[in-house]
Amino acid sequence: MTDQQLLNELQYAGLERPNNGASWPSGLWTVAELTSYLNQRQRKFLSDTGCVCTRASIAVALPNVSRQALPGDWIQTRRATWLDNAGAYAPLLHSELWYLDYGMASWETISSPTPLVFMEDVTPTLEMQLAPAPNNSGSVELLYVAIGTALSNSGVAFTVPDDFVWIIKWGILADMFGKIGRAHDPVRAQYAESRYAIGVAVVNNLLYGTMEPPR
Amino acid sequence: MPYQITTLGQLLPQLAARYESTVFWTTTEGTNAINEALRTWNVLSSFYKGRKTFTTVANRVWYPVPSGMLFPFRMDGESTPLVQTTFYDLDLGRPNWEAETTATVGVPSLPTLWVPGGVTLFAIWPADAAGGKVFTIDGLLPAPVLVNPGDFIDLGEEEIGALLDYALHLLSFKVGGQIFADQLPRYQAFLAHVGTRNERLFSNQAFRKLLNKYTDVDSTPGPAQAVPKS
Repeated sequence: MTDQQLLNELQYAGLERPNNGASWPSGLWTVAELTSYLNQRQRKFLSDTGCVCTRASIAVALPNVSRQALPGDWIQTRRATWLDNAGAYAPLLHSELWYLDYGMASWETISSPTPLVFMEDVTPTLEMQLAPAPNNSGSVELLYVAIGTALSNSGVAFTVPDDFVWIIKWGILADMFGKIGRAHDPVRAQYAESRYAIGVAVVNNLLYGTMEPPR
Repeated sequence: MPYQITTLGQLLPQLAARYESTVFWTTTEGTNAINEALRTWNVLSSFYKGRKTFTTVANRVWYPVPSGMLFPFRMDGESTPLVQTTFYDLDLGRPNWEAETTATVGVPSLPTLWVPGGVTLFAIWPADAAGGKVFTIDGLLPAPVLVNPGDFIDLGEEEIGALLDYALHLLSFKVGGQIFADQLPRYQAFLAHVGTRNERLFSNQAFRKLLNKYTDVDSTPGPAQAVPKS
């Protein structure tokens, strides 16, 4: 399904003339607003469900450097593994600073051939921290959720499967009718938001057997 | 074998009979509503299931989910089912699992475990050292998309009513106000019907709490008993 097809459906729902999102004559919404709603909701859906994962390899060339840059399109990490130069894998557990400070107080001063954990809670944006710092080169094999294709009204396909796009559509409707101004319709906005939440829960149940994805 | 009883061309007039046939709704909107109803139905009930295959590549761990499949449920190959596991179990139980193949000492001679990585990827353990083995995947397929009037709806006649309920409720959204509110029972009826096909989901208390925003859900265990909110 493409962004134009969804915009057409949104135009029907908003009592606008359907033209694949080329214009919104009522003036209640603009093309730029709908483009931002499209992208924000797709990204939110990807973050809420983690349904589309991407693999990447982050080369760690310099020893004793614990902070590594994440890919530019990173949303969240689903899994990280250390791969050493001998081809052996060592899973990295997702930890937090609190656990290291109280469980391994000297973690910042020690290094190891194989890091044990990775953290994201105290690092700058788009960085992850390995602990202990690796004193050999290697790579972090990352399974992560990426931002997704940029949508507009030019016929770009959604990153998420077509069978999940209806969930994003309800999220966009919540944004459209939640807009402050003449388009504001709190009843329909709240209903649409609940439909989005239910859709996210159903997808998470399908993928993980729980209402929320494991972190 | 797919249902070949009702076509899109037969269903659209049934839907049109339920709303005032002025220019307020077009055939395109009706078709979109039916297609969304099918997709919603599919995601809620995992209705459309099918089988695909993949062929192992030598020493490869990660594979893409075959095109045309939404999510894998089960795998088997060489007369043996693969057990679904999680990254957590593999990482803690066998940390170097990604480097192991069927040629590694101490591992099975056939892939025995599989783990999903979202809807687009999955991994197997151990990786097949030789490659060329064909494995079968049973999983959720995308809902059919109806385009032409002659397209059959792969759904039993007993489900068509619920489908039309959802489609009509969806069409009423653009009207808003009391007319939209008055159509909510149709959505609730759709959910009640889907609930009979996915009792595990509809028995989940967290999910029922979410539904309860607009549906008074029966507190007794079991599928949702849709009751319009007073």
